[in-house]
Amino acid sequence: MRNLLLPLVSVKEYIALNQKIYPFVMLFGIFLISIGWITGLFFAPVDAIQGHSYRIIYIHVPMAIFSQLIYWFMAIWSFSFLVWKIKIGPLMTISAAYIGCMVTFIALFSGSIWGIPTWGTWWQWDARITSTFILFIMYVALLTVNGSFQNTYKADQITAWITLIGVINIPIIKKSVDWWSTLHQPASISLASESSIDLSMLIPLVISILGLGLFLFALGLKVSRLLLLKYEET
Amino acid sequence: MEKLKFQFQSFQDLLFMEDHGIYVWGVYLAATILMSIFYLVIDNKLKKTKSGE
Repeated sequence: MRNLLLPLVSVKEYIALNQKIYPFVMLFGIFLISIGWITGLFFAPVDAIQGHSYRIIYIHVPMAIFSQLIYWFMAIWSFSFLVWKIKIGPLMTISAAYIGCMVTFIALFSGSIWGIPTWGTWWQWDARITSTFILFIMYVALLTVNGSFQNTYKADQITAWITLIGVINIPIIKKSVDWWSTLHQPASISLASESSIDLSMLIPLVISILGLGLFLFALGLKVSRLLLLKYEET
Repeated sequence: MEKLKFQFQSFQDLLFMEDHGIYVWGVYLAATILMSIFYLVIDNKLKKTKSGE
């Protein structure tokens, strides 16, 4: 157990481990994303209702999933920082916030473009889109607040509190399509029940999700290394 | 499960995707550019921090 925790305690060991695993995770992530996107773009069958525009799913759905998962990740680290004073907590939270901000923006952007041929509009203030937009605002607000204090400990504490308050929004995003009548369709894939899309469309989607997960993890390693070096400087 | 096969007859077919090409290619291009810019910015900052600039 001590061996497992050591990289989180010692900065030098964390950076060493980070640098060691980074290239493998990044390359494997890019490889899986390429497989998922190529299969989804060129080989998956055309959707009977939406036509080819549904191929945006291979970007939109993985981005939307990770925009929420990243926030859970941040909430866990914020909680561990506030309760157990785990020093690496704020670093993990802020590293993830940068990536979460980008991912949520791409999810919103790709959804908007997909909406043009499918719904006839690029934006609608319905429950799913509005709650995802709030998530994007949360990411921007967290990064702004964290960077606006000279006292880093105070900044980290306030950021952690805001992150924990904002976590209320995540189940709302998830359940918005069930609780309210929205333009956005209900989830097509589920871990608990059978997915409503054909396996030939589902396989590239799962590969894209796994690939993006690894790619974002690798990006997170890089951002955390940068922030750690900056913390060491100050 | 439907068999996976190449879905387009020609390059034009692939490019225009029955008038949906602009949306599909636009999203893939924008996402790739955004992720690449993010990566390059972080990489550049990391190099600068390491060299002590």
